[in-house]
Amino acid sequence: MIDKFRDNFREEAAELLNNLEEALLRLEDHPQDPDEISSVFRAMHTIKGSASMFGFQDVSEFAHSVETVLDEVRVERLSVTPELINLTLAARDHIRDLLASDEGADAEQAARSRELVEQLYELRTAEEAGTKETSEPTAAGAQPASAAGHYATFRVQFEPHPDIYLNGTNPLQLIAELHELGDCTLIPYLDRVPRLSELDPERCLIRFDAFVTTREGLNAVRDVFMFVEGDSKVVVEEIDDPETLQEEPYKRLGEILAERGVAKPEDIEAAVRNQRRIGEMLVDGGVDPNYVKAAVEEQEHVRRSRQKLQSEMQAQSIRVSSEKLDDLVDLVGELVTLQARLAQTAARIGNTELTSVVESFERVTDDLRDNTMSVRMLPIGTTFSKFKRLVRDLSSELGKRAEIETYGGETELDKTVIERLNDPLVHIIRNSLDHGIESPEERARLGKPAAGVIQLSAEHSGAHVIITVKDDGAGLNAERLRRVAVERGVIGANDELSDHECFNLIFAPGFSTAESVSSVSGRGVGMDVVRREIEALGGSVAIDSTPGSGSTLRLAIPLTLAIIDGLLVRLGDNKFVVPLSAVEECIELPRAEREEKNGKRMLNNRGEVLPYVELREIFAVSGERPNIEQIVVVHSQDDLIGFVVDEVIGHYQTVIKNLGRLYRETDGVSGATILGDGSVALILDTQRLATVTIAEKN
Amino acid sequence: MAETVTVLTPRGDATVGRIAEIRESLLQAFDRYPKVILNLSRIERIDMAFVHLLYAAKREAEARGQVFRLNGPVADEVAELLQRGGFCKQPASTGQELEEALVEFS
Repeated sequence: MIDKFRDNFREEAAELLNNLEEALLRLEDHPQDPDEISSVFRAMHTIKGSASMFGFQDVSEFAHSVETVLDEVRVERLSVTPELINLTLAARDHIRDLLASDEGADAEQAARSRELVEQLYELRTAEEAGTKETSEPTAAGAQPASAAGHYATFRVQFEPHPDIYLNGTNPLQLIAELHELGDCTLIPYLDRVPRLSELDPERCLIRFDAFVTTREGLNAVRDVFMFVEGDSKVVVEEIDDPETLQEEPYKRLGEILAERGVAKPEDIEAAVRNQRRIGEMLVDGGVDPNYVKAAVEEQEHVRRSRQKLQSEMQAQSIRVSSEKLDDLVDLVGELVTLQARLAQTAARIGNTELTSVVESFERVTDDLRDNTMSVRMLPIGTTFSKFKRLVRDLSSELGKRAEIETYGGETELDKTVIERLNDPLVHIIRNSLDHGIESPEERARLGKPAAGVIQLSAEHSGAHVIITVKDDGAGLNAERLRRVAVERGVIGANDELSDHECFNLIFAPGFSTAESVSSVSGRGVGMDVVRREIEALGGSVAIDSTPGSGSTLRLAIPLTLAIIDGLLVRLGDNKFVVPLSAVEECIELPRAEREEKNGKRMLNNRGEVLPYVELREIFAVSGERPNIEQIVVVHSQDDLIGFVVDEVIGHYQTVIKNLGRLYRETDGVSGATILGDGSVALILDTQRLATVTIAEKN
Repeated sequence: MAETVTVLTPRGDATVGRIAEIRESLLQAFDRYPKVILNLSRIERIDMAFVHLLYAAKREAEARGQVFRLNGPVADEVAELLQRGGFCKQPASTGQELEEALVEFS
């Protein structure tokens, strides 16, 4: 039993470690941000606590030492430096390694623990020696968050004393501190500010209403104004408890104004009696419109904070193992297939009552299928965040400076697709860093900023997600690519290639232009592998480049691998599915035209030469061909290629079944599906079939 | 032809210690030109005194029937303080955007 808990903990810890890594990288960008400092601290603290609970004593002890140092940062006795970030990142990696072993830390790991802790403590000693005295932590900002209580919304009326500047207080700073407590809305009252010629610039005349929703409690809100309370007017009241009052409507405008003593209850009653809008009526009756506005804002703030809390409560999730999800998808696949059979049977029997039940059943099955698929969808941002670390580590290894910018991390993709995208993306980013981004000196010479930028973005486009990796590096050199390709026999010496075709050479097998084999790229894995992996996912990859200003790789990836939109085709008695995403058009091939060409598998399709493939030959289908065959034209890389079939049956949404281990490596087939009548149709891997055919032809 | 507009570009801190000086330049500008533009691009730090100044200058222009405009990119820190203080209805990164965003300004 305990093992199961330990596994669960490992899973949770992996998530915590990822959060820690992200928080550390953010902290590196914003070393002063107290929020980031506390998220780093919290993550380490949680790891320590849970590790000890589940018997990972060595992890807990190590995390405790790191946490001690982080605590110094939190109370501003130690500052955030690149060394600190580096060491904490290393500590994070070390915890990951420690968690992987069941037996506890071995001698080597124990030594590594000691080494890291020593280095972290040295940082502390060094800084203490460097500063003569440690400064007092500031009043409110640096206090550690107390045990989180429940949410409450407070109204703060803050009227600074006109001479508040004289004792060195900046009211805007107090407001910034208020924001640190939680979601905060501020309403400034500007009515007392005169024209410039009458303004005494050293007096503060603006007052505020603030609404803050926080878990820190009334005292924390009061503490913000601790040093000005004597002179300035500060009234803090709790006005809403979004956790328990969620169901009750919030106070009406009149009630708020009466509560604040701005309007008399009898005036409000009169307004209600006269069926007039309270706001308008009170303003007409001489109430300052600013108060009415503040009351409206108060309602708005309360509504928003309740909504936010509710969605937070709803966002709670449960953890389900991915195997269970895969099983569920399989079962839904079976159900969809059965449903199709049922529909066919019902159509044959022709009983209207049965047909109506089957139709309702179909709707539910469709919803169930869509829902199940959506459960498997994950935001791609989880993968993106890993690349931040990759870019950081690699650029320092290569002596370059680079930053990664990510966009569209919320774009969702099937989890299997995301997993399989990881390696190709790692490779592309490595290539960008190694071959694309120049050294800082070179960049300075070219007038570029010292740090290169790699942009990683994802967006939906129909049934695909487009992932773009763009760098601002040197770009591809078409001439050099051409030269190397000729040297390696990829193309002939006299072949004429456009620049764009030259760029595409990097995807050719065995093609690598790296002039030195670095530890980063040049490991024998070329861009051809990237292309193959993307195509195996049913996607495509394209490159564009401008010499001097960088390259852009564009990956188009299907949303899911589990269900595809297909074109059902027939060859003799066999049925096949062609993925619709690849299909360009369907045309006819009359027997006369085939005979005319005398065995040359080319067709004049609206003036373009279209090569075609005889699927009957590939799959050894015997029997008589129909008089008029059909050609399904698909795009393969940059070309069009036709597949000759007997008949195109129609559009078919299909649940993909993997082939058994024996057939998995079969060229040209990516899976199978079960049709409505219970028979099996193979799903064609058109990209692979095209490549194989072209290769054979050459 | 007489000049009709002037641009003032305060540099560095626009905080209480320097606000009297900026106020003085603004008033002189209002005396001499019908339109006064305050370029915010060189301002690095602000406080409440500067917020007062912005609104007071706007009111001065209105009272005189003159024009007071904001211009130039606004430092992130400045924009954030204004936003946090509830003075901006929406984020603003230039003077023009700020005119739109500041409550009771346009």
